[in-house]
Amino acid sequence: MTDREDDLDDLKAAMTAATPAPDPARQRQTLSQAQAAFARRQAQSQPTGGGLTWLADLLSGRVWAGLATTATALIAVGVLMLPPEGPPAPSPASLSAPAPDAALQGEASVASREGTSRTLMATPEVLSDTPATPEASGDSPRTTGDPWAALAADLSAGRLPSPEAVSVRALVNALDVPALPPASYAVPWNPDVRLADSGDPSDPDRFRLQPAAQTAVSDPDAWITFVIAAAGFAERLRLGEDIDGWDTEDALALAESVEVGADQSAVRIAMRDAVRLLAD
Amino acid sequence: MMTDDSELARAAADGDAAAFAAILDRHYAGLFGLCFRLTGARPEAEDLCQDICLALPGKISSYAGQAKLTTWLYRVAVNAAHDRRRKQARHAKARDGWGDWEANRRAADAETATQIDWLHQAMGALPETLRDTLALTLDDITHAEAAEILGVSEGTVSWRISQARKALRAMRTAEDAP
Repeated sequence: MTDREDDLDDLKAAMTAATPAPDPARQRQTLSQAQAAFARRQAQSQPTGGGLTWLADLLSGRVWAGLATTATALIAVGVLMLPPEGPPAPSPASLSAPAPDAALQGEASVASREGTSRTLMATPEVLSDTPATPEASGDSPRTTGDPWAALAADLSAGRLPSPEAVSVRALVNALDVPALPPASYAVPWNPDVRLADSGDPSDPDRFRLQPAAQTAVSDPDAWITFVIAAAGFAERLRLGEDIDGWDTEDALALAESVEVGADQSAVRIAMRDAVRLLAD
Repeated sequence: MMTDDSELARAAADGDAAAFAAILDRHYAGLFGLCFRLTGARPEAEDLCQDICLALPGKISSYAGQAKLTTWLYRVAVNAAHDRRRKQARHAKARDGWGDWEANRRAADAETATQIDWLHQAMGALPETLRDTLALTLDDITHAEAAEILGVSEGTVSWRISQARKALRAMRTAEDAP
């Protein structure tokens, strides 16, 4: 190298010499993929259109969930005027679907996830006054391993669950965590939300995400850290993409940063499997 | 025909596929160059550039039009590079940026290869914040614009450049020492 007064000049010249032109084939491929992604996104964000909007809502389950939980939605039955040959009546299972999830997640799936994630995440799914249904909260924290196993099965089959199918409450309450003093804890993906723990393993709705102002915060132990990792992973699935810097690998790193006790129902293994599958 | 970046970005945010394609066509080469300067390796740069382009359909609606489109785009790129490094580090697969120069010098002539060797040695020895700052300013991006892209003050950019200059001088002195 020549001896120059300012080495930055040398560095700039070297950088210019070293910087290659983009590979044309790779450029074509990337641009084509990006344009296809743009088209898919536009198609997803298009309203179903005029008179068929109600049909899309019915098929997606949003209307049934709303009917089950709000009095105002009952009025909508009359307004909708379902045709005799319309969709079949909702099953009891669909009527008991977690309404707050449906409302929030329906919005999350329609809205731009990039642009609105902070707004959405400031409204955790369990803030509704509507009591949790058994389906939403899990039957028992000791016996319900199915949500995680089902999630892992979906992911291993190469399918992402739809945001509507993800219930943070069901997933975190499926983890068999021993009794702890009641407390609430900060979560790393949203400063405005806390993980509240009633501390009672027999409480099917033991863990909840709540607004930060409701309760005090304490330091989490290993079990709670694991639950926070699970809740964060479920939130990431529910909101579709990374949440303000928090992503699947953060959840995995947090889950793997702690050692927790025996896992008789293998729920925690299923949880780690699910996170790893999505992180890979 | 739209020629203004902001106009194209607004149209793309409104769902105009042709405007989105025009943005990509217009800025891919610049974006790739920045990706290379941020990573120091062509394959990494290609992958990073692809990540950014595939994320753009979801991000374009957040472009508010207050900054130049390239400023916004480069900010997206710098953030994506940081995310990628973080993830790679977590997976223990990371090559420290600017650590793998063999592929870059392979096709170069002897003089250019020497220049590239020095570039990789110098960039590899600098802290990440200085490297990222240089990745922008060595491409004739102003300190003010680099500050906006990096989310720091213009004074911080100038200070980083002066730190980089000092580090380069120290490296040169060490090289020249008998």
